Amino acid sequence: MRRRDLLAGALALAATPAAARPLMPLHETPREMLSPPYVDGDGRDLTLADFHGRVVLLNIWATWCAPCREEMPTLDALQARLGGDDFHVLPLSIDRAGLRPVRRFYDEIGIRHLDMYLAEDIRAMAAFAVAGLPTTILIDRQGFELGRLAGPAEWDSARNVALFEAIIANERT
Amino acid sequence: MTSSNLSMSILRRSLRVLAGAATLGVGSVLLWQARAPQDLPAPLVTGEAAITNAYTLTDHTGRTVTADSFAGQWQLVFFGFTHCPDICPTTLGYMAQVMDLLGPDAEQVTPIFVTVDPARDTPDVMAAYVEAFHPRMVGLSGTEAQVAEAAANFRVWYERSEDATAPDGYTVAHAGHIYVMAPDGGFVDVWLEGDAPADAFAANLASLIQSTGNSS
Repeated sequence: MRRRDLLAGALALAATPAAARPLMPLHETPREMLSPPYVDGDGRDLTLADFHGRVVLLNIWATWCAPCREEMPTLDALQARLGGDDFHVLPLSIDRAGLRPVRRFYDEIGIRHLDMYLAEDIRAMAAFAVAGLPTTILIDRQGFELGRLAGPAEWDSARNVALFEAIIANERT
Repeated sequence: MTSSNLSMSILRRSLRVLAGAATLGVGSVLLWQARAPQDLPAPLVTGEAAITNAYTLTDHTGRTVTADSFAGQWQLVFFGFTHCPDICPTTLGYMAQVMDLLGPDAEQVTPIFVTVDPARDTPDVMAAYVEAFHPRMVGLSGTEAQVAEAAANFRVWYERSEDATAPDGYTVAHAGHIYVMAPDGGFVDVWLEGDAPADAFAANLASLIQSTGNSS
């Protein structure tokens, strides 16, 4: 009951129109997802199933995408704040040039908390039904899509952190 | 296939394109930049495919090029810009996928990205950008006047609008068509990402390439 109240509170916050940057709209019911295969910065083969058990914020991006680059520090700060056994920020690059430009960009802007992930662009875009970058998808511990936002956001804003904390609390069993 | 058959098939396609032109023209504004302001003028629909493959621009290596520089190649021409202010379209990735899917036929195709924002998209910026998509991709920039002339010849609509929230305070709304130009420079077809998967586009190009053989 208390968890539900917390979630309702966070959703009410989400409905407040005052913010300059949008909060992520949530689906009425969680949706099933496909996962393309992808690799991490060490070349390990992964799918979304490897993150079941954690709430995941999946950010589909590329180094050539200006708004993606702009919001990346806020994802790094969010991972620093909430990342761990309950929550993980998963920045999935679809750079055709591979991990090299991703690594260069991480170094350039001083990313400290985010891991690197890379997928084949056509497969990732098809599997996640991505029409433009960035697209960010919130995924529950069972691997269902809770909501998505096309376009950039300030992911470490107080309102976003409150939303994610509510989801994490609501989902804890 | 004889050349007259090919001409007929091109004509049929062109007519089909024309039939859809009004819908496409209006739809493109809605489909393209999410940031397009509400009060943009409706795109110009001329009612005839007066698309001319003509321009003088600077490529991403700093070389001056004209449409004739790509004669003998099938050309995929797309107008856009690199500073997507909000949601970045994935059209260049789509063009790169088409190139990959073509296999050896890709040697007869040049993907060309023309900026409509030459103030920011200098040849250096374009070089870094096209490199991210495909090794064969050509990035074209120029003066405002050169770009305006190229866009006018392709009947591409774009408009710079002031937007305080966008990088440098402005954005450029534009249509998102990919033009298919034949090795002789003539207009063949127009595609929109989202209308067809990359493999359908690639299959269509492959049959065009096969129908003209390697000698064209």
